[in-house]
Amino acid sequence: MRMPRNVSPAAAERRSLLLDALLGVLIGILAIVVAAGIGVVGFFGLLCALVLVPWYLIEGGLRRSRRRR
Amino acid sequence: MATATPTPTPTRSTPPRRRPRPRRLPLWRRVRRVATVACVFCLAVAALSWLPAVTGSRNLGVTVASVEWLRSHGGNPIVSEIENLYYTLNEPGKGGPPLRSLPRVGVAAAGGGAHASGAEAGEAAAWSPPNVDPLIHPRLPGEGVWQKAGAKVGPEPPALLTTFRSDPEYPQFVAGVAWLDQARTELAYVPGLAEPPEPLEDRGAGEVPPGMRRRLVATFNGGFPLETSGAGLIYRGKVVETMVDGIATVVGYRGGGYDIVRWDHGTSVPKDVWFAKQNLPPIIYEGKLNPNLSDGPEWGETVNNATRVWRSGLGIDAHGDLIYAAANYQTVESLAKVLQRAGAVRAIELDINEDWTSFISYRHPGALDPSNLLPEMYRSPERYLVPDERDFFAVYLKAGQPW
Repeated sequence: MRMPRNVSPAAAERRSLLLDALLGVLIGILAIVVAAGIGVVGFFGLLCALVLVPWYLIEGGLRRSRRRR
Repeated sequence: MATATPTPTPTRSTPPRRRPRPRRLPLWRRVRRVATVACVFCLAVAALSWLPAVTGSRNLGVTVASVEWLRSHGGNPIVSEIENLYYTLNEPGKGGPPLRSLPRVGVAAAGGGAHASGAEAGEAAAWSPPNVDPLIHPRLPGEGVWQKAGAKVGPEPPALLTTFRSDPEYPQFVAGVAWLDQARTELAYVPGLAEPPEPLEDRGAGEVPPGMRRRLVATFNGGFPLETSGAGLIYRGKVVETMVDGIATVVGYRGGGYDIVRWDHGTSVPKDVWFAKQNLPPIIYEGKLNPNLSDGPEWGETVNNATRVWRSGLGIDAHGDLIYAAANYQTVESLAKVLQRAGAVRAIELDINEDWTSFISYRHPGALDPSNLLPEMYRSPERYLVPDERDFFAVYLKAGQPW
Protein backbone atom coordinates (compact mmCIF):
# COMPACT_ATOMS: atom_id res chain seq x y z
CA MET A 1 0.00 0.00 0.00
CA ARG A 2 1.33 3.38 -0.95
CA MET A 3 0.45 6.54 0.78
CA PRO A 4 -1.25 9.07 -1.48
CA ARG A 5 1.26 11.58 -2.69
CA ASN A 6 -1.06 14.34 -3.65
CA VAL A 7 -2.51 15.47 -0.37
CA SER A 8 -3.65 18.76 1.06
CA PRO A 9 -1.13 20.92 2.92
CA ALA A 10 -2.97 20.27 6.17
CA ALA A 11 -2.81 16.50 5.62
CA ALA A 12 0.87 16.73 4.73
CA GLU A 13 1.49 18.66 7.90
CA ARG A 14 -0.41 16.08 9.97
CA ARG A 15 1.54 13.31 8.29
CA SER A 16 4.91 14.86 9.06
CA LEU A 17 3.79 15.55 12.63
CA LEU A 18 2.87 11.89 13.05
CA LEU A 19 6.22 10.76 11.65
CA ASP A 20 8.12 13.12 13.94
CA ALA A 21 6.13 12.00 16.96
CA LEU A 22 6.80 8.34 16.16
CA LEU A 23 10.48 9.06 15.69
CA GLY A 24 10.58 10.97 18.98
CA VAL A 25 8.93 8.12 20.88
CA LEU A 26 11.34 5.64 19.29
CA ILE A 27 14.32 7.74 20.37
CA GLY A 28 12.83 7.94 23.87
CA ILE A 29 12.42 4.17 24.08
CA LEU A 30 15.97 3.70 22.83
CA ALA A 31 17.26 6.13 25.48
CA ILE A 32 15.42 4.26 28.24
CA VAL A 33 16.75 0.91 27.06
CA VAL A 34 20.33 2.10 26.69
CA ALA A 35 20.60 4.29 29.84
CA ALA A 36 21.97 3.00 33.15
CA GLY A 37 18.62 3.70 34.77
CA ILE A 38 15.44 5.71 34.53
CA GLY A 39 17.02 8.33 36.80
CA VAL A 40 19.62 9.11 34.15
CA VAL A 41 16.89 9.37 31.50
CA GLY A 42 14.91 11.74 33.71
CA PHE A 43 17.98 13.83 34.49
CA PHE A 44 18.96 14.34 30.86
CA GLY A 45 15.31 14.75 29.87
CA LEU A 46 15.10 17.56 32.37
CA LEU A 47 18.25 19.16 30.98
CA CYS A 48 16.78 19.01 27.45
CA ALA A 49 13.53 20.48 28.73
CA LEU A 50 15.51 23.32 30.31
CA VAL A 51 16.84 24.14 26.82
CA LEU A 52 13.70 23.48 24.79
CA VAL A 53 11.12 25.25 26.95
CA PRO A 54 12.92 28.64 27.00
CA TRP A 55 13.61 28.22 23.27
CA TYR A 56 9.89 27.83 22.49
CA LEU A 57 8.98 30.64 24.86
CA ILE A 58 11.52 33.08 23.40
CA GLU A 59 10.48 32.19 19.85
CA GLY A 60 6.80 32.64 20.69
CA GLY A 61 7.53 35.96 22.36
CA LEU A 62 9.49 37.22 19.36
CA ARG A 63 6.69 36.16 16.99
CA ARG A 64 4.08 37.97 19.03
CA SER A 65 6.14 41.14 19.19
CA ARG A 66 6.63 41.05 15.39
CA ARG A 67 2.88 40.68 14.84
CA ARG A 68 2.16 43.67 17.03
CA ARG A 69 4.46 45.79 14.90
CA MET B 1 -34.35 18.35 -46.02
CA ALA B 2 -31.01 18.52 -45.01
CA THR B 3 -30.26 19.04 -41.46
CA ALA B 4 -27.10 20.63 -40.45
CA THR B 5 -25.18 18.66 -38.07
CA PRO B 6 -23.88 20.81 -35.29
CA THR B 7 -20.22 21.24 -35.52
CA PRO B 8 -18.68 19.98 -32.44
CA THR B 9 -17.12 22.69 -30.42
CA PRO B 10 -13.54 21.91 -29.83
CA THR B 11 -13.05 20.92 -26.23
CA ARG B 12 -10.13 22.45 -24.48
CA SER B 13 -8.37 20.05 -22.17
CA THR B 14 -8.11 21.75 -18.77
CA PRO B 15 -4.91 21.08 -16.96
CA PRO B 16 -5.43 19.10 -13.74
CA ARG B 17 -5.92 21.33 -10.74
CA ARG B 18 -2.71 21.40 -8.77
CA ARG B 19 -2.85 21.49 -5.02
CA PRO B 20 -0.63 24.15 -3.60
CA ARG B 21 2.61 22.66 -2.42
CA PRO B 22 2.60 22.24 1.35
CA ARG B 23 4.86 24.60 3.13
CA ARG B 24 7.75 22.47 4.34
CA LEU B 25 9.10 22.97 7.82
CA PRO B 26 12.79 23.75 7.96
CA LEU B 27 14.84 20.74 8.98
CA TRP B 28 15.98 22.28 12.29
CA ARG B 29 12.35 22.77 13.34
CA ARG B 30 11.58 19.12 12.65
CA VAL B 31 14.67 18.04 14.58
CA ARG B 32 13.56 20.22 17.48
CA ARG B 33 10.09 18.73 17.30
CA VAL B 34 11.44 15.18 17.41
CA ALA B 35 13.67 16.13 20.34
CA THR B 36 10.70 17.65 22.16
CA VAL B 37 8.60 14.51 21.74
CA ALA B 38 11.50 12.30 22.88
CA CYS B 39 12.09 14.58 25.84
CA VAL B 40 8.43 14.64 26.91
CA PHE B 41 8.19 10.86 26.53
CA CYS B 42 11.30 10.28 28.67
CA LEU B 43 10.16 12.74 31.31
CA ALA B 44 6.71 11.16 31.47
CA VAL B 45 8.17 7.67 31.96
CA ALA B 46 10.67 8.97 34.55
CA ALA B 47 7.88 10.80 36.39
CA LEU B 48 6.04 7.50 36.86
CA SER B 49 8.99 6.31 38.92
CA TRP B 50 9.95 9.65 40.54
CA LEU B 51 6.53 10.71 41.83
CA PRO B 52 5.95 7.73 44.15
CA ALA B 53 9.55 8.03 45.41
CA VAL B 54 9.09 11.68 46.32
CA THR B 55 5.58 11.50 47.73
CA GLY B 56 6.31 8.26 49.59
CA SER B 57 9.40 9.47 51.49
CA ARG B 58 8.35 10.29 55.04
CA ASN B 59 10.86 12.77 56.38
CA LEU B 60 12.81 14.01 53.38
CA GLY B 61 12.31 17.21 51.41
CA VAL B 62 11.49 16.99 47.70
CA THR B 63 15.03 17.98 46.71
CA VAL B 64 16.78 15.39 48.87
CA ALA B 65 14.25 12.71 47.95
CA SER B 66 14.80 13.52 44.25
CA VAL B 67 18.56 13.26 44.61
CA GLU B 68 18.15 9.93 46.39
CA TRP B 69 15.84 8.74 43.63
CA LEU B 70 18.38 9.77 40.98
CA ARG B 71 21.17 8.04 42.92
CA SER B 72 19.24 4.79 43.19
CA HIS B 73 18.12 4.79 39.55
CA GLY B 74 21.47 4.75 37.80
CA GLY B 75 22.42 8.37 38.43
CA ASN B 76 24.95 7.87 41.23
CA PRO B 77 27.96 8.96 39.11
CA ILE B 78 26.05 12.09 38.03
CA VAL B 79 25.18 13.01 41.62
CA SER B 80 28.74 12.41 42.78
CA GLU B 81 30.16 14.57 39.98
CA ILE B 82 27.77 17.41 40.77
CA GLU B 83 28.47 17.13 44.50
CA ASN B 84 32.22 17.17 43.93
CA LEU B 85 31.91 20.22 41.68
CA TYR B 86 29.66 22.01 44.19
CA TYR B 87 31.93 21.33 47.14
CA THR B 88 35.05 22.26 45.19
CA LEU B 89 33.50 25.60 44.19
CA ASN B 90 32.42 26.23 47.78
CA GLU B 91 35.64 25.12 49.40
CA PRO B 92 36.27 26.97 52.66
CA GLY B 93 39.29 29.21 53.02
CA LYS B 94 42.01 28.54 55.56
CA GLY B 95 42.40 30.69 58.65
CA GLY B 96 39.81 33.28 59.56
CA PRO B 97 39.06 34.98 62.86
CA PRO B 98 39.51 32.70 65.86
CA LEU B 99 36.48 31.35 67.70
CA ARG B 100 35.76 32.76 71.15
CA SER B 101 33.47 29.98 72.33
CA LEU B 102 32.25 26.54 71.35
CA PRO B 103 28.70 25.24 71.14
CA ARG B 104 27.57 23.79 74.45
CA VAL B 105 26.69 20.14 74.30
CA GLY B 106 24.92 17.60 76.47
CA VAL B 107 23.41 18.67 79.77
CA ALA B 108 25.81 21.62 79.78
CA ALA B 109 23.64 23.09 77.07
CA ALA B 110 20.70 22.72 79.45
CA GLY B 111 22.57 24.20 82.41
CA GLY B 112 24.30 21.08 83.80
CA GLY B 113 27.93 20.66 84.74
CA ALA B 114 30.96 18.94 83.32
CA HIS B 115 31.61 15.28 83.97
CA ALA B 116 34.73 14.55 85.99
CA SER B 117 36.75 12.41 83.64
CA GLY B 118 38.41 9.28 84.93
CA ALA B 119 41.77 10.96 84.90
CA GLU B 120 40.47 13.92 86.89
CA ALA B 121 38.18 12.00 89.22
CA GLY B 122 41.02 9.72 90.25
CA GLU B 123 39.04 7.54 92.58
CA ALA B 124 36.16 6.87 90.17
CA ALA B 125 35.24 3.20 90.18
CA ALA B 126 34.19 2.98 86.53
CA TRP B 127 36.50 3.98 83.75
CA SER B 128 35.64 7.11 81.83
CA PRO B 129 37.74 8.68 79.12
CA PRO B 130 40.23 11.44 79.77
CA ASN B 131 39.31 14.83 78.37
CA VAL B 132 40.44 15.34 74.80
CA ASP B 133 43.63 17.32 74.40
CA PRO B 134 42.64 19.99 71.88
CA LEU B 135 44.42 20.35 68.57
CA ILE B 136 44.57 24.13 68.91
CA HIS B 137 45.96 26.05 71.88
CA PRO B 138 45.10 27.97 73.92
CA ARG B 139 42.09 25.82 74.70
CA LEU B 140 38.67 27.47 74.62
CA PRO B 141 36.38 27.15 77.65
CA GLY B 142 35.01 23.61 77.76
CA GLU B 143 36.99 22.48 74.72
CA GLY B 144 37.51 18.72 74.81
CA VAL B 145 35.83 18.46 78.23
CA TRP B 146 33.34 15.62 78.41
CA GLN B 147 29.78 16.53 79.36
CA LYS B 148 27.05 14.13 80.39
CA ALA B 149 24.54 13.52 77.63
CA GLY B 150 21.72 12.58 79.97
CA ALA B 151 20.29 14.62 82.80
CA LYS B 152 20.15 13.08 86.26
CA VAL B 153 22.44 10.23 85.29
CA GLY B 154 24.53 8.73 88.07
CA PRO B 155 28.31 8.83 88.46
CA GLU B 156 28.72 6.42 85.54
CA PRO B 157 27.06 8.15 82.61
CA PRO B 158 26.52 5.87 79.62
CA ALA B 159 27.18 8.69 77.12
CA LEU B 160 29.47 11.70 77.18
CA LEU B 161 29.72 14.51 74.67
CA THR B 162 32.28 17.14 73.83
CA THR B 163 33.39 19.51 71.11
CA PHE B 164 36.78 20.69 69.97
CA ARG B 165 38.26 22.53 67.01
CA SER B 166 39.09 19.90 64.46
CA ASP B 167 41.88 21.32 62.32
CA PRO B 168 44.63 23.86 63.16
CA GLU B 169 44.56 25.16 59.57
CA TYR B 170 40.81 25.81 59.80
CA PRO B 171 40.36 27.17 63.34
CA GLN B 172 36.65 27.85 62.85
CA PHE B 173 35.60 24.24 62.34
CA VAL B 174 34.23 22.42 65.34
CA ALA B 175 33.89 18.66 65.69
CA GLY B 176 31.28 17.06 67.89
CA VAL B 177 32.35 13.86 69.61
CA ALA B 178 30.41 11.35 71.67
CA TRP B 179 31.67 8.56 73.90
CA LEU B 180 29.47 5.55 74.65
CA ASP B 181 30.24 3.17 77.48
CA GLN B 182 30.42 -0.43 76.27
CA ALA B 183 29.92 -1.71 79.82
CA ARG B 184 26.53 0.01 80.13
CA THR B 185 25.19 0.13 76.61
CA GLU B 186 24.29 -2.10 73.70
CA LEU B 187 24.20 -1.20 70.04
CA ALA B 188 21.42 -2.00 67.58
CA TYR B 189 21.34 -1.68 63.81
CA VAL B 190 17.98 -0.35 62.64
CA PRO B 191 17.09 -0.63 58.93
CA GLY B 192 15.48 2.39 57.30
CA LEU B 193 12.44 2.32 55.07
CA ALA B 194 14.50 2.45 51.87
CA GLU B 195 17.98 1.45 52.99
CA PRO B 196 19.02 -1.31 52.77
CA PRO B 197 16.98 -1.62 49.56
CA GLU B 198 16.95 -5.41 49.47
CA PRO B 199 13.87 -7.29 50.67
CA LEU B 200 14.38 -7.70 54.38
CA GLU B 201 12.73 -9.88 56.99
CA ASP B 202 11.78 -7.89 60.08
CA ARG B 203 12.61 -4.55 58.51
CA GLY B 204 10.63 -2.75 61.17
CA ALA B 205 9.17 0.72 60.83
CA GLY B 206 12.44 2.58 60.14
CA GLU B 207 12.39 4.16 63.62
CA VAL B 208 13.41 3.31 67.16
CA PRO B 209 10.86 0.70 68.26
CA PRO B 210 8.52 2.29 70.84
CA GLY B 211 9.13 -0.60 73.22
CA MET B 212 12.87 0.18 73.31
CA ARG B 213 12.63 3.94 73.85
CA ARG B 214 12.65 3.65 77.63
CA ARG B 215 16.31 2.59 77.40
CA LEU B 216 17.34 4.81 74.50
CA VAL B 217 20.57 6.72 75.07
CA ALA B 218 21.54 7.90 71.58
CA THR B 219 20.99 7.36 67.89
CA PHE B 220 23.30 8.10 65.00
CA ASN B 221 23.54 7.74 61.23
CA GLY B 222 24.67 4.57 59.46
CA GLY B 223 27.12 4.20 56.60
CA PHE B 224 26.82 4.76 52.87
CA PRO B 225 23.91 3.10 51.06
CA LEU B 226 24.83 -0.42 50.00
CA GLU B 227 24.64 0.49 46.32
CA THR B 228 27.23 3.23 46.79
CA SER B 229 29.59 1.49 49.18
CA GLY B 230 29.68 -1.87 47.42
CA ALA B 231 30.08 -3.34 50.90
CA GLY B 232 28.24 -6.00 52.86
CA LEU B 233 25.53 -6.23 55.48
CA ILE B 234 24.47 -8.90 57.95
CA TYR B 235 21.17 -8.33 59.72
CA ARG B 236 19.77 -10.60 62.41
CA GLY B 237 22.45 -13.18 61.64
CA LYS B 238 21.60 -13.39 57.93
CA VAL B 239 23.51 -12.04 54.96
CA VAL B 240 21.63 -9.21 53.25
CA GLU B 241 24.55 -8.16 51.06
CA THR B 242 27.69 -10.22 50.57
CA MET B 243 30.42 -9.29 53.03
CA VAL B 244 33.78 -8.12 51.70
CA ASP B 245 37.10 -8.92 53.35
CA GLY B 246 39.31 -6.00 54.37
CA ILE B 247 36.42 -3.58 54.81
CA ALA B 248 35.78 -1.75 58.08
CA THR B 249 32.78 -3.28 59.81
CA VAL B 250 30.62 -2.33 62.78
CA VAL B 251 29.78 -5.66 64.37
CA GLY B 252 27.06 -6.32 66.93
CA TYR B 253 27.31 -9.67 68.72
CA ARG B 254 24.46 -11.84 69.92
CA GLY B 255 25.52 -11.28 73.50
CA GLY B 256 25.00 -7.52 73.12
CA GLY B 257 28.64 -6.54 72.70
CA TYR B 258 29.95 -4.60 69.74
CA ASP B 259 33.20 -3.89 67.98
CA ILE B 260 34.72 -2.29 64.91
CA VAL B 261 36.85 -4.73 62.95
CA ARG B 262 38.49 -5.22 59.59
CA TRP B 263 36.33 -8.02 58.21
CA ASP B 264 38.20 -11.26 57.53
CA HIS B 265 35.48 -13.93 57.65
CA GLY B 266 34.85 -13.96 53.91
CA THR B 267 31.23 -14.35 52.91
CA SER B 268 30.29 -16.55 55.86
CA VAL B 269 28.47 -15.40 58.99
CA PRO B 270 30.20 -16.20 62.28
CA LYS B 271 27.73 -17.72 64.74
CA ASP B 272 28.03 -14.94 67.29
CA VAL B 273 27.42 -12.08 64.84
CA TRP B 274 23.96 -10.54 65.06
CA PHE B 275 24.58 -7.65 62.68
CA ALA B 276 27.53 -6.36 60.68
CA LYS B 277 27.51 -3.18 58.65
CA GLN B 278 30.44 -2.48 56.36
CA ASN B 279 31.63 0.81 54.92
CA LEU B 280 34.91 1.48 53.12
CA PRO B 281 38.35 0.46 54.43
CA PRO B 282 39.16 1.27 58.09
CA ILE B 283 40.29 4.86 58.53
CA ILE B 284 42.13 3.97 61.74
CA TYR B 285 43.48 0.51 62.46
CA GLU B 286 45.64 -0.67 65.34
CA GLY B 287 45.86 2.93 66.51
CA LYS B 288 47.29 4.19 63.21
CA LEU B 289 45.72 6.26 60.48
CA ASN B 290 45.14 4.39 57.24
CA PRO B 291 48.18 5.35 55.09
CA ASN B 292 45.94 5.63 52.00
CA LEU B 293 43.56 8.27 53.36
CA SER B 294 44.57 10.67 50.61
CA ASP B 295 44.03 8.17 47.77
CA GLY B 296 40.81 8.21 45.80
CA PRO B 297 39.43 5.00 44.34
CA GLU B 298 39.29 2.79 47.40
CA TRP B 299 36.99 5.26 49.16
CA GLY B 300 34.06 4.45 46.95
CA GLU B 301 32.07 6.01 44.19
CA THR B 302 30.95 9.05 46.08
CA VAL B 303 32.16 12.48 47.09
CA ASN B 304 35.92 12.63 46.82
CA ASN B 305 37.74 11.78 50.04
CA ALA B 306 39.64 15.08 49.96
CA THR B 307 36.49 17.16 49.55
CA ARG B 308 35.57 19.14 52.65
CA VAL B 309 32.06 18.20 53.57
CA TRP B 310 30.00 17.04 56.56
CA ARG B 311 31.45 13.68 57.56
CA SER B 312 30.90 11.28 60.40
CA GLY B 313 32.82 8.33 61.73
CA LEU B 314 32.68 5.73 64.43
CA GLY B 315 35.67 4.48 66.37
CA ILE B 316 36.38 2.21 69.26
CA ASP B 317 38.90 3.06 71.96
CA ALA B 318 41.37 0.83 73.78
CA HIS B 319 38.68 0.03 76.40
CA GLY B 320 36.19 -1.10 73.77
CA ASP B 321 33.98 1.97 74.14
CA LEU B 322 32.47 3.63 71.11
CA ILE B 323 33.51 7.06 69.91
CA TYR B 324 31.36 8.87 67.36
CA ALA B 325 32.58 12.04 65.65
CA ALA B 326 31.01 14.38 63.12
CA ALA B 327 31.86 17.79 61.76
CA ASN B 328 31.37 19.98 58.76
CA TYR B 329 34.18 20.69 56.28
CA GLN B 330 36.09 17.47 56.91
CA THR B 331 38.19 15.34 54.65
CA VAL B 332 38.49 11.62 55.38
CA GLU B 333 41.93 12.33 56.81
CA SER B 334 40.85 15.18 59.11
CA LEU B 335 37.91 13.10 60.37
CA ALA B 336 40.26 10.22 61.14
CA LYS B 337 42.52 12.61 63.07
CA VAL B 338 39.55 13.83 65.11
CA LEU B 339 38.64 10.26 66.03
CA GLN B 340 42.25 9.42 66.83
CA ARG B 341 42.51 12.52 69.02
CA ALA B 342 39.40 11.39 70.88
CA GLY B 343 41.04 8.03 71.59
CA ALA B 344 39.86 5.74 68.78
CA VAL B 345 42.19 2.86 67.93
CA ARG B 346 39.99 1.46 65.15
CA ALA B 347 37.51 3.50 63.15
CA ILE B 348 35.15 3.41 60.23
CA GLU B 349 33.85 6.32 58.17
CA LEU B 350 30.07 6.53 58.33
CA ASP B 351 27.73 8.57 56.16
CA ILE B 352 28.58 12.03 54.85
CA ASN B 353 26.76 15.20 53.76
CA GLU B 354 24.60 17.43 55.92
CA ASP B 355 21.47 15.55 54.91
CA TRP B 356 22.59 12.30 56.51
CA THR B 357 24.86 13.20 59.40
CA SER B 358 23.00 12.97 62.71
CA PHE B 359 23.91 12.17 66.28
CA ILE B 360 21.07 12.57 68.72
CA SER B 361 21.23 12.07 72.47
CA TYR B 362 18.23 11.89 74.79
CA ARG B 363 18.44 13.78 78.06
CA HIS B 364 15.71 11.81 79.81
CA PRO B 365 14.53 8.19 79.71
CA GLY B 366 11.80 7.43 77.22
CA ALA B 367 13.57 9.24 74.34
CA LEU B 368 12.55 12.55 75.90
CA ASP B 369 14.25 15.87 75.22
CA PRO B 370 16.34 14.79 72.22
CA SER B 371 19.13 17.06 71.05
CA ASN B 372 21.58 17.07 68.17
CA LEU B 373 25.27 16.77 68.95
CA LEU B 374 26.04 19.97 67.06
CA PRO B 375 23.68 22.88 66.48
CA GLU B 376 24.58 22.89 62.76
CA MET B 377 23.14 19.40 62.31
CA TYR B 378 19.97 20.46 60.58
CA ARG B 379 17.96 17.25 60.69
CA SER B 380 15.31 17.21 63.38
CA PRO B 381 16.31 15.70 66.74
CA GLU B 382 13.13 13.66 66.38
CA ARG B 383 14.60 12.11 63.24
CA TYR B 384 14.85 8.52 64.40
CA LEU B 385 11.68 8.61 66.45
CA VAL B 386 9.72 8.75 63.20
CA PRO B 387 10.21 6.54 60.14
CA ASP B 388 13.45 7.37 58.33
CA GLU B 389 14.64 6.41 54.88
CA ARG B 390 18.17 5.42 55.87
CA ASP B 391 19.44 2.79 58.27
CA PHE B 392 20.93 3.96 61.57
CA PHE B 393 22.32 2.79 64.90
CA ALA B 394 20.56 3.01 68.24
CA VAL B 395 22.37 2.85 71.55
CA TYR B 396 20.35 1.44 74.45
CA LEU B 397 21.13 1.06 78.09
CA LYS B 398 21.71 -2.62 78.83
CA ALA B 399 18.69 -4.27 80.39
CA GLY B 400 18.58 -3.67 84.14
CA GLN B 401 21.01 -0.74 84.03
CA PRO B 402 19.79 2.34 85.88
CA TRP B 403 19.59 5.60 83.92
